[in-house]
Amino acid sequence: MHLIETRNLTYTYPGNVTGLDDVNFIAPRNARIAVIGANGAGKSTLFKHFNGIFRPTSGSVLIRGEPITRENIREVRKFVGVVFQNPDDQIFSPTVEQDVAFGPTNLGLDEETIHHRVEEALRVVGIEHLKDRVPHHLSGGEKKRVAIAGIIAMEPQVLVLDEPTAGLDPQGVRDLVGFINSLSRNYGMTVIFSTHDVSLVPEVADIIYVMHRGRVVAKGDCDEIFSRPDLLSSVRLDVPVLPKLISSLRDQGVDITMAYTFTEARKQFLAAYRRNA
Amino acid sequence: MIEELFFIEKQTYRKSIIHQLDARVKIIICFAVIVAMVATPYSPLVFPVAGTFALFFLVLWVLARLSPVVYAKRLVMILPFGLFIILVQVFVQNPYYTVFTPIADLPLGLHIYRESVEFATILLIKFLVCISFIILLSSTTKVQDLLEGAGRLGLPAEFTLTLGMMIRYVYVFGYMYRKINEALATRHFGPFDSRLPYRYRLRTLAYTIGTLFIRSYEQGERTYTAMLCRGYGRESHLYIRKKPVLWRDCAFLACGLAVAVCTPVIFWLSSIGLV
Repeated sequence: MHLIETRNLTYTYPGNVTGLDDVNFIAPRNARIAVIGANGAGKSTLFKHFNGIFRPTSGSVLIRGEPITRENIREVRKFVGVVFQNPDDQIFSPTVEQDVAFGPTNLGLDEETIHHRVEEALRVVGIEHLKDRVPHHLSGGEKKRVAIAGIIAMEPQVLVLDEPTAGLDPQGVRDLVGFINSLSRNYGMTVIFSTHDVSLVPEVADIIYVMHRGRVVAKGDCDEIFSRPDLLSSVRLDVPVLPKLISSLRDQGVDITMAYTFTEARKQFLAAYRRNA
Repeated sequence: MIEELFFIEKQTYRKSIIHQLDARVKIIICFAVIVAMVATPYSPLVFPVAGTFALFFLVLWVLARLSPVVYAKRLVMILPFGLFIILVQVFVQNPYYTVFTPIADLPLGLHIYRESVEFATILLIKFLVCISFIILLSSTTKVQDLLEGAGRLGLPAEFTLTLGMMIRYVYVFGYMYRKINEALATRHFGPFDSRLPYRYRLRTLAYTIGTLFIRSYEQGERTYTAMLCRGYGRESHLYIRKKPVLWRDCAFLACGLAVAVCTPVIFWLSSIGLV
């Protein structure tokens, strides 16, 4: 049984605009899934189906094998936490602590548990020092962390991040990469995120879905997706710079093994250099 | 107006004895003074009571180490709202007096009465004292602390959650308004720039205000979606941590309440010859 599964999911916006068209998506346990696609590809629309914000026009969304109903919607939203692209949409309490406590409070937890969850969530995202601050005094990156902490405090098993790197500086992106990896590694969570920053994907994703005009046009691991530059350019994306460079060198006759992450690429470059030296 | 919002907030982040007091203590003292002032009968008794409260306010303002300019600026902003109502009183009779002596006759059958002027003066004094304490409270207490304080004092959860969101989004829209202004200024648009045609400026401002409304509506939709994602429902409320009141705050509360309660009582007793 998959944590999240969509079957032939179709969603049409008012005005007969197709948001999703026959989408089949699977999120297994403890996986890191990237959904990549250009602007308007349907990534956010898909995510809003994972916790019942949008209802399918046709097809189905199954959470742990069960369809989303009025009866289980609260349980589903506890199970699947969605972090929106713009943190100002999500942070609505006067202080960071109160905002992070919003979800646990709604779960009906006692004060001691709420306090513990807030402390833990702030610690996980590394913003304990911001607890008493007001949101409008925070930077974009800090607000993003507060938004994530607000969801983490509900202890979801699936964390969905919509364009998590939007508006972050390079250090912020690095921190986020480490954070996503630690959630999967240390807490066994499934992390689903959308991005059009393809260079980030090999560092944080085991499975990649490529979306274009509301459809899933490809699914696979880094090797399967990034070995298809024509497909990526047809959906207004590109191959990350490292595999692109290695592929170009291989076309020039350099004996080098394909790599996607920085660590792998450095290893392969050194090996190729030693072979040719 | 929006810049005033950030100005007020800046004052609340200063450090002083008054700033450090528990918000609950400040709320109680402020409301005690307001109730005492409002409860003082419409008679010349108001003058010594208001004078004592004004002195009390002055002491607190000095302890808060705030500039008189802060007070003046904020008073000027609030004054027009009260002044209008007070000015109208000069021309009308009120239920606190039985005999009215006209001191000036104006066209359209309007008269200014001596008793009405006295009533308006008392009203003005009461208004000034109440507003001064509100200014003191809001200049020395962070808005989120005020909300938490009110929540700890028993303000219903429905109010704290709604007010909390209002506080949060007042600042979000404050920043949005700033950005829109900057965007207009970047392209050399000024609402008071007489080189631009009047109708054009009016139209552009109307578009800007319209955009702000649409963005508020859209923001509301997005925020509601985010709230649903985090289990928002009928039982939702703002999380307010328990906080003990320090002895220092208790002592200050006792002193403040003593001033608020004893002042009108002592002056009333002296007015009937018992003190």
